[in-house]
Amino acid sequence: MGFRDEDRRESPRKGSVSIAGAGKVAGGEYHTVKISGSGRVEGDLVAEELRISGAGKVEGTTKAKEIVVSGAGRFEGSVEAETFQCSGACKVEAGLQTKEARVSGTFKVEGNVKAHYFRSGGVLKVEGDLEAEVVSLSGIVTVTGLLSADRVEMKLEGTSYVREIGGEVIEVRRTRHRGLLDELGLSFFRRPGALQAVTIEGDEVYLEGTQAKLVRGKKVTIGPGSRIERIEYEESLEVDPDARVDEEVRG
Amino acid sequence: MSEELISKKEVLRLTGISYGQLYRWKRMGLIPEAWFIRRSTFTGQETFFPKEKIIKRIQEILKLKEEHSLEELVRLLSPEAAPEKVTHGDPAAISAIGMEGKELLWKDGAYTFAELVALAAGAEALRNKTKLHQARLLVELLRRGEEDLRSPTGIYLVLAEKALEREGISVRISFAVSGREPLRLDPESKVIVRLDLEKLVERVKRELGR
Repeated sequence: MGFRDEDRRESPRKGSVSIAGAGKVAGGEYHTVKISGSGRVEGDLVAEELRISGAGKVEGTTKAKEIVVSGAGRFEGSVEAETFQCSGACKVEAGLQTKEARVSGTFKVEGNVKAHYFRSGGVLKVEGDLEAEVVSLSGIVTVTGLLSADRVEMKLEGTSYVREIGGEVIEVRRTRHRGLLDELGLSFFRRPGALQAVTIEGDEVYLEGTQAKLVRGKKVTIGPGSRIERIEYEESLEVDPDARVDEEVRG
Repeated sequence: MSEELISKKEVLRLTGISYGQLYRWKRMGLIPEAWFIRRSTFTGQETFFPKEKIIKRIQEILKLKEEHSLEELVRLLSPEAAPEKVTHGDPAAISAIGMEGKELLWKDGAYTFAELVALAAGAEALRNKTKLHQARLLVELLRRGEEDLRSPTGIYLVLAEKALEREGISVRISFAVSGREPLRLDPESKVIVRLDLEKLVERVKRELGR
């Protein structure tokens, strides 16, 4: 807000600020904000670049060209960024809008996510809609609203839940390679990945390990481990012997 | 309110578009969120649309998409979905703004959609015989309100004034507020103008589309 008004009048270049250790900084416009250690921004933040390694928190809205979090990041307001990268644990409390998001570890968004490209590995939770041109997800996913993209790719591990999926090409597969649990030495707990959904609609749909009430599409392929209550398809339907479909309707 | 509804499957069958197209256009705001109406049916949740509106919109998109990019279509068909991307050089040429609005202009050109709607609100106030400084309050209130523009249904704008008397000095205060109905003011405040934001958005949009 009022922070550094005088500084800015003297030099047109926006200032940069860096917190190492523990500290806080007032909201406002900056070139670069770096937090290593533990730090927080008090208020709304506008910056070219925000880098958090360690633990960082923005107690307002964030607008930045580039956001990189490794460690723990918490955004108490909405986030708008051209690129958003997070590895570790991140939480956005009022929606995310970005061109490109790459997240790994655990990532939680309260509100909607809008992106061109969205990629996530690990544990993802969106309490709202997730919309992008291309969405590529692996790990455990929860989307309480609509997951919509031209291309949706999911690689399942553990149990995922997405209320609704819609788009052009939808592909849900169980992972075959070593996953998170194996890495942690917990392969004992491993069960084949599963997805629960209410409706799935797409032009080309391929589903493994999926439980859904209703699947609609032009070309539908139901792979192993799936259980679908009702399928409405237009051009073709293939069902794996290790899948169950209660009702199929053409047209 | 008794619009005829049509199911999603029927929409696809009648227009020949794909699921991919429907979802893409929804994401871009070409088909407004408000048109997706969820109803429960015997097969579970089902999405319906206002029939006349959705069929007309899809036909417009199909017709225009040969010559325009999808981004351009958003500007043409649903500027409220991307209010920052629309610019207009001569607001006074839009009749919702008109000559009355000329006095409210603050720059030479490149007015965004939000700013055009703001000017239309101010101009409408002036036509209701408010003073210039009061109309400006509405313009200031609206020109940055892009969020409201995306879903203006049910949002109203109120321009009001009240007199304060303290120790023999009387001051008149004017103020503008926006919000969803019912908007209530204290009994001493007098409403000068009340405007329906959705109608304003529709008016500006229609004229832009010409």
